[in-house]
Amino acid sequence: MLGAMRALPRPARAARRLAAALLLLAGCLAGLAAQSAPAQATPQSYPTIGKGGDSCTAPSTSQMQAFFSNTPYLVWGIYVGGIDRACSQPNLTKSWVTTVTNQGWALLPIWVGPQNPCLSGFDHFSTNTGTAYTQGQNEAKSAYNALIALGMAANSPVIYDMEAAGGSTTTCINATKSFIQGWTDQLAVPPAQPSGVYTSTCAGFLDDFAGNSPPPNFIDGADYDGVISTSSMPCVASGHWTNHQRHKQYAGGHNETWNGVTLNMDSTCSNGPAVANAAYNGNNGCL
Amino acid sequence: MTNSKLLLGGLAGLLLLTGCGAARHADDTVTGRSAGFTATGAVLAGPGRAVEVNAQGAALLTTNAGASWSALRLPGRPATGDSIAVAGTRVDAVTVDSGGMRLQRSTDGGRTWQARTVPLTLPTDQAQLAVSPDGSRLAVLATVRGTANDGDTPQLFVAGPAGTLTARQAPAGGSLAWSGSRLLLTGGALRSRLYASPDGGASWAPVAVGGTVAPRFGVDPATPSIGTPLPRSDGTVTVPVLVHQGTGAAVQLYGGPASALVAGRRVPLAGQVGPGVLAVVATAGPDEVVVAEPGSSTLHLVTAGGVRSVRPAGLPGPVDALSFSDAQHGLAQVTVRSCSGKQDCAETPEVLATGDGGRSWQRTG
Repeated sequence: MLGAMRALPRPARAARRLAAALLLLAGCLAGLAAQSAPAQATPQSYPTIGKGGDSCTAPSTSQMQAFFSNTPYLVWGIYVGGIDRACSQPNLTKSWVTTVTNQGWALLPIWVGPQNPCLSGFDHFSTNTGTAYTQGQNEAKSAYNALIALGMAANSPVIYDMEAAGGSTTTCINATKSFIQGWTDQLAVPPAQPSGVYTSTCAGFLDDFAGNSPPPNFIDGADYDGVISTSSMPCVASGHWTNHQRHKQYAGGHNETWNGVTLNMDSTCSNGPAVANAAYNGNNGCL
Repeated sequence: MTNSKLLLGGLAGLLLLTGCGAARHADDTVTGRSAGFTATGAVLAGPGRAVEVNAQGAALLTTNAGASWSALRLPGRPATGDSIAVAGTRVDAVTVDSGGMRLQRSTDGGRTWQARTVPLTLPTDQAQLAVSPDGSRLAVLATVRGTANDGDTPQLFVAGPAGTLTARQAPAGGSLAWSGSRLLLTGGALRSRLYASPDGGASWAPVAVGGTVAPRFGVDPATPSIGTPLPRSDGTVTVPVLVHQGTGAAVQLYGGPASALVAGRRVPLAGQVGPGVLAVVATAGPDEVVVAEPGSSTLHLVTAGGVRSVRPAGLPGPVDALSFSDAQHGLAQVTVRSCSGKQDCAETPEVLATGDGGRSWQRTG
């Protein structure tokens, strides 16, 4: 039986900012130490620089091996849960996580819970900011439990997938910011996890989350400009999330074939935390 | 990614070209087009038609499957996606600039252009353009960047014979095609759903393919993935569906009017194919369909008489996109990938042409 995360003690804002900074610093130090360390038994948060992708459903372990050997890729996004997750995940088990991290992969866990109330076709969180905050906390607890069930360490980063919503109103934007605040605050409760948010860099108002207190620890911005650099993110201020705190989805769904296996994947460049057995510096072009 | 056209990617450096009056004549033929032109992107713009662009913003057009190329003056940076359609001297293109997205039309091969604003509610530079075979109807599906988990945020605009561009509600992100006056859309998780609209996008209904309609969420990885329907001049369509069977996969072709699709030939595939992979398929003349093997250069030529598989000469790898102007002449885009380490990898897109029904291919540049 998995234990739920502890309730947020509501520290002061300054304390929460400090905690977020320490969390990232700890991750970086752990990563540096891990570069020469043997593989860990439990995959955990490490700084990761390199190229990768994601697919709606986790590929088989043999397909993952085919996409790792003699390829540019070392980071893979996995949809670990949430009510709005599009695909079922028959491959995604604790054993799968162990196998692919031992293959050398760094994983980006993504949670697809309720969405912006202005986004049609999905389950939503409330337009009431207080309720949305609590819902964000609850999603963080569920995501934590999902990661533990998959055999990941309690410090594992997790990304909230917040799709861009057409016709977003001020009410919806404020509710979304409050929801992500709840997500971030809850994940900061020890054992703290780096909190991430994924959305379109422009249409998803990604930079608005920098105004949260504290903001998410890192971002996963979508901009299909084909520019393979996390420094290049339209609509995100260059001074935000600068300390190895960015992933970028730079291309949408397309077929790729490596070592005889064809997958449909989005393309990602990483310069931020991921779940792995060691830190990686796989492609400086992603900086 | 659609079946039969190429994506214009990596075109950030494409410069704006003044559209009206200043254009070089569109029939400035550059046969072989090797005179210093290095393509950085390409789009298949109709049967046997393609547009290539280079980093300086110049564009070349072929309307005869690569036999010859002509300069084409585009009035702006093409949107990322299948954003150009060419039929005779008419060129439709979706372009983007600092003012937003525009639908451009030239009826004189690119000498002059008329622009209409695409009234986006969210910014994006990604769009697909679909023109009906008779040219009377047109649709633009702009997709907001940020489509993890296949939760696309679509913005649809449709123009009927009167030419007015009307915003419509799309049921999902994905890709569009016309079947006569009926608008079709494939989308959803793993491209598992096909929708049809009889009224230009005002209303939509899911179409059962193979007798089923996939669920909206929790889609099983073995669910078939529906490729973009290929319109035929008689108003019918060919719909390629990639199906998974045990550890293998096949392309099941459906044909007929969108309201009554009938299963046709089934083409078994040799390689390992994961969930959501879309079949790369093109019609080649009135009676033939060409199916590209996802993991190799093999092509399957499908006719009423059966399926013939060929290992073409000159194709360096799996085909990303394919288009034929007739049973003999076609274009293919191939991305050659190689790696000797995580930091030392190369991806080279190439456009190749065939004049013998896909049996041999030559680089167009």
